[in-house]
Amino acid sequence: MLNKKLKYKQFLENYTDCPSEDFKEISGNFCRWISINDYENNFKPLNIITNPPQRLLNDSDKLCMGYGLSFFDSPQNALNRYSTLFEKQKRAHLKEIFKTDKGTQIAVIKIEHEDGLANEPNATNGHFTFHEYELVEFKEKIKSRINIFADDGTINIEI
Amino acid sequence: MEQLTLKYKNPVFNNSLVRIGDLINYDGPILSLFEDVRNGYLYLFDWVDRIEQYNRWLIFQIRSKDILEFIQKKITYLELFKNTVKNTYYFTDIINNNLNNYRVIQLEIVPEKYYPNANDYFDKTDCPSYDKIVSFLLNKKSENLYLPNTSISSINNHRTQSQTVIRKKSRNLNEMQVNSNSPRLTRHPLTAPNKNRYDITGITIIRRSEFNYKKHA
Repeated sequence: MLNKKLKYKQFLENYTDCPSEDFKEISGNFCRWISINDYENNFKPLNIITNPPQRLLNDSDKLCMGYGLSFFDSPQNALNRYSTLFEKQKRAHLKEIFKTDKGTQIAVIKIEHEDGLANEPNATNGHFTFHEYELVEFKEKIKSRINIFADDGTINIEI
Repeated sequence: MEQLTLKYKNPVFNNSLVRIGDLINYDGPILSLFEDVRNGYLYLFDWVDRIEQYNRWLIFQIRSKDILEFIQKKITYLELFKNTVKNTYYFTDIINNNLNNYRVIQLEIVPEKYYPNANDYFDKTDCPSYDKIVSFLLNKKSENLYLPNTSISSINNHRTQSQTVIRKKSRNLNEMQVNSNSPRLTRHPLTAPNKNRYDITGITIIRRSEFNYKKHA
């Protein structure tokens, strides 16, 4: 029997209902943005990353879901959401910061029931939050990687 | 990180800024609205840069009218940015383990790269506090829309007769008070059916739209 204690439990306990009851174990191939190199933050939740610093104005910005990992239900949805957020960056240099923070590849990752808990994917963009169990190492579960940017520096339209 | 030219004329907020909500938020705040509770002035915290352990924010005072126009997509982010009160911008570098103790400094010049893109408009999907912010702004706007039904001179006459209206900070129209020598706030008999009109000894206050005047906790 694998350990089904959630990672970062000590932080999750500070919230009521975190993660909420609608989070369930899932299995299948899902997608997450990662950096080309095995960047140490590739599988760290936002609230755990200290460098670069998370964008906070006060402690209320540290939400429960910030202790989970962002995933998408398909490569195309992962690409579309990346493209949308990339274009939303309000200043040119912030696009470069976005690329550094979020990476420039989509990793296809095999998730199994014993890996953790997920909520339902967003009906519009396919995004969901995944809270890992304690001993899970997603780095070892990457099945393939897809480049987000084409050789000319533009974002790929389709996968 | 951009080199800044500073003015060294620092505002003192004394922890008087209260966060109303975020106009833009994804993976954390991008553009956040604050009110200075001492005077009701509104400020935007606009995320412009990051380096190592700091996030840099520009801070500028803004009118509620301009924020409403931004939300209504009548003006762009850039226009909102340029419509700051007195063309004054401050900045702060915030380190996450010291969120409540940051120093705010006035800028002499805003670096060009910190100006927002020209064609960006408000997007409701990025605004998790939409209802709260709009309600707040409309209430705030209503405070500034007390229209006299008489001339300015007649209002001044009323004032000389010690009938000065004292407005409470609560932003609650029903809590508007007059001083002890003045008549009580009463509904004008001729406009009684219209709940948007009230009368205080000749000065009619017209509530311009349907706002929620529920008392703030």
